[in-house]
Amino acid sequence: MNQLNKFREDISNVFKKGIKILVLSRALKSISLDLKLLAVNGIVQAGKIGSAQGQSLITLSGFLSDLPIQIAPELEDLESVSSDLARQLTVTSISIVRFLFYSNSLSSLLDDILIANKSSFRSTDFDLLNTQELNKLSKNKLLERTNQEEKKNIDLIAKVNINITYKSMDMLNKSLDLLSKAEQKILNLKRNGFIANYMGSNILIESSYLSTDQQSFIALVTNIRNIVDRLNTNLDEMNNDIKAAQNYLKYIIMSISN
Amino acid sequence: MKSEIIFESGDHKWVVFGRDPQKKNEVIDTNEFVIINNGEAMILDPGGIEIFPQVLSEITKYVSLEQIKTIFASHQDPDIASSLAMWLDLIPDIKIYCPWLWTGFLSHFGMGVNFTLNGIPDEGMEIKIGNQGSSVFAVPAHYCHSSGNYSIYDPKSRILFSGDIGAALIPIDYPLYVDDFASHIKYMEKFHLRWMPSTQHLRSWVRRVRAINPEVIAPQHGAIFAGANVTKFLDWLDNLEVGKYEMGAETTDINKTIWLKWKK
Repeated sequence: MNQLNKFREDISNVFKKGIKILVLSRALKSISLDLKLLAVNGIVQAGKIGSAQGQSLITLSGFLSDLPIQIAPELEDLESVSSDLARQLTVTSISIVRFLFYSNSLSSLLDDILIANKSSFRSTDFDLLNTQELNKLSKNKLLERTNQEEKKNIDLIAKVNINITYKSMDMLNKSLDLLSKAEQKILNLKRNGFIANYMGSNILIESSYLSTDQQSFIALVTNIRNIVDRLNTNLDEMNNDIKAAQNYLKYIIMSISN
Repeated sequence: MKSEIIFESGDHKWVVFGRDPQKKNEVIDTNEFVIINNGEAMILDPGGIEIFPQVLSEITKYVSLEQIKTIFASHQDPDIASSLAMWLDLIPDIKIYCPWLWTGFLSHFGMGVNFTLNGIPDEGMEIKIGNQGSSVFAVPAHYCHSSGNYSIYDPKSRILFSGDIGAALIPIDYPLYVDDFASHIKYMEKFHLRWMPSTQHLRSWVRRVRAINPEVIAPQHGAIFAGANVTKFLDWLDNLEVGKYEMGAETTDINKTIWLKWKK
């Protein structure tokens, strides 16, 4: 049963990753709000200066204040994709759990038959994850002496598992698509984070010419950098989880599609 | 999982499944019963999802899966009904009967499968074992222990499946039938005192069962009562005061320190 146990473990892991991705995507919401507050703060500070230098800082802060507007829908999309992913993975996990229970039933049934036939083979000698093997299971030479009734039962359980396999395959591929979508959203968000940092650097350069109020712009830029760092840390963690989930899913698909 | 035929006459048969040595220790042992009549089968309390593989493979020793036409769930507990979706997915035409009170709740065990349940009305009903042939009767057993609860009486075998009434927490190697009733009480008493909430309803069930006069009473946990033990069991129930579980002053105080912690 090692093969089935490994399968169960992989599904459980991919399910956990899905939930973690959702939790991380929700944590990003506060970052969007923080960026918005900082941008407003930048405009207010620049407005206080009232010189030509003040005007360029207002322009830069204006650019910065546009970023949260661009980031907010991306974050919402990411949360929505993550939520769809968690739901999809939950449904897939339930389907796979059913598959595993039927596989265990089949395995138990085969062992009973093989033991009764005094065979030295056991259910572990069959690949119960393989749809081709499931398809011709009752016709396997090891089950030659099995009566028609038992063969009918084996066929019925195998047929249900083949159906679940096809449905699960579809669900697993949908999950992979959602993971790719989430990956793309993360890329977009990272780009916005990079721009925010870039704007921060420009604000810092412009404010260095100021005779007064320089300190508040240094603090503003430090805050921008901290927020972008937080954003990047979360996005990197999400990316790692997405990669891990993709690997698990590809392995699961490979296990049941050969 | 072990299985044994407990009644056989012509084309009518009762098989009990249980005493599963493969089950995990934390999973309570359950008895599943299958009535086979005229080549069609009915499962009584099919058991939890944890033991589904064992139950399924053991049942197939007696019937082809296509022969299973009906499932009866006496109440809503997971050790009784959490495998329902697996059975429905495997045999989509199967008819599932359960207390009407629990249909909406049991549907939470659906696992994405088309989940249609037939609710048994409060007064009980006749249920056909298969598409043709004999019927059994759902006998009301409300509040014994669940608020929507039934026993099943089969007039052909004169066996009454009693669900959790008569349940006993016994060792795994305990005999299938109760031998010495007096010594069996210790395995049942605590179960009944804690799980049965209403003496009034328990008495009423006992009256109904005395009127039915079964030869065998078969519970979902523990051992089967047959012959003189049926009367001894009913007499015992008639003298049992349930629904009065008290932890005792000392225990209550100890517990209070636990459940009042949030107040600090």
